[in-house]
Amino acid sequence: MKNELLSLAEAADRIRAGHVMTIAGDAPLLAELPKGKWIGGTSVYFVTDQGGAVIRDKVFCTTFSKATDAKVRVVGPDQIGTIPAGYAVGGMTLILIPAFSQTHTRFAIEGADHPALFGQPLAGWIAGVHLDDLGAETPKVVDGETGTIHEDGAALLHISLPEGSTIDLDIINIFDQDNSDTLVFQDQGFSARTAIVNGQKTAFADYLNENSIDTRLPLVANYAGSHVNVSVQSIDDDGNVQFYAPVLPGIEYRLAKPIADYAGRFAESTQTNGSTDYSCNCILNYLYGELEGKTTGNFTGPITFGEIAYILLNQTLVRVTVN
Amino acid sequence: MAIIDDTKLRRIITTSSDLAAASMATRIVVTRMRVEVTNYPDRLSAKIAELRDFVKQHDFARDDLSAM
Repeated sequence: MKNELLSLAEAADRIRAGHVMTIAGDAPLLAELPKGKWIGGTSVYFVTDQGGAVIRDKVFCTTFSKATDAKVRVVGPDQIGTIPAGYAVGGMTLILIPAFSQTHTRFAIEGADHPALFGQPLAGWIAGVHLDDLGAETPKVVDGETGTIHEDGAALLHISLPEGSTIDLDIINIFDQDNSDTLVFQDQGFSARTAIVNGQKTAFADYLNENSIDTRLPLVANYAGSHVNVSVQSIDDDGNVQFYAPVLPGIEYRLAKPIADYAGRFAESTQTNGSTDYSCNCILNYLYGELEGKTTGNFTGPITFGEIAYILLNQTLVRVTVN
Repeated sequence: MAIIDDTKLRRIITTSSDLAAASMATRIVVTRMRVEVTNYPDRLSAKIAELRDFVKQHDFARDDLSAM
């Protein structure tokens, strides 16, 4: 895979040459690109080889040079279960979903209920906007084959690869579980009023406030060896704690250990080169880790409103390698 | 490749051991089954069947769990 920050003209040439691509960029730029085998999502935050930056005059392109074919689809919020229907044998699928859309919510809640979704690598991200434009602009995804722009739905790029290709989809989570309290939630959802803290039912907002918990640190669950984060968004006036991804009932979460150097942790957390991987990283890491101007090892890519490695993730770098 | 028997699938679902060498997909699928069985113990047989089907359909999952 080739990751490049390209001008509109350069990206258009690449599309017209028939390359299979995912493209991240500001909405007006994505709208001007020609039709082809690509999907796009809005983002103006990137980590390039020069470091984190807000970029509005170029688009970030990943070209899947080993792709033998690709199919573009957009599915609506009621069609999450149909995502695997487009899987190419031995291939992989990229998925982009606009933040705050019904599809965003329903993919996060219902996606993992479909075992077929896990049948091949499914990676991608949640499209966003500049934080100054929240409420004024809406995140969007683009079906590059038809040129249609969507404020709801999942843009899918089903990629075919040569027989014998190996695809490695994994995450880099720089957060470790703290050895403190265990947190268990009773219901699945993007918010919680109560949690079982060390076995005791507790008003979760009070717990966070009374213990002066740094809510920039995610809740971390252990998925059979993979650390999966859920980040706290806010605490509302009614005592509901809002999350950027759903908590699952019955799974044990712990707070994350604090981190002083986000960029350094990303760089040291990977054994791979990263420069030819497809990757994306979280806007919360960009903000809390002050990644502007800093690199994350050799990984480059969009900074996103959520990451997808089969399921919705927070504060995580998702990476895909194809060999 | 040998078929993974139900005794082993049951053990995978009812323990909390890490699947260190497994793919991300297998880790998520197994974790969700473990959580469901913890919340609803009467669903164990259904989850074993579901995992059996998943392994049957996907070579990577079979490889992941055979190695355990």
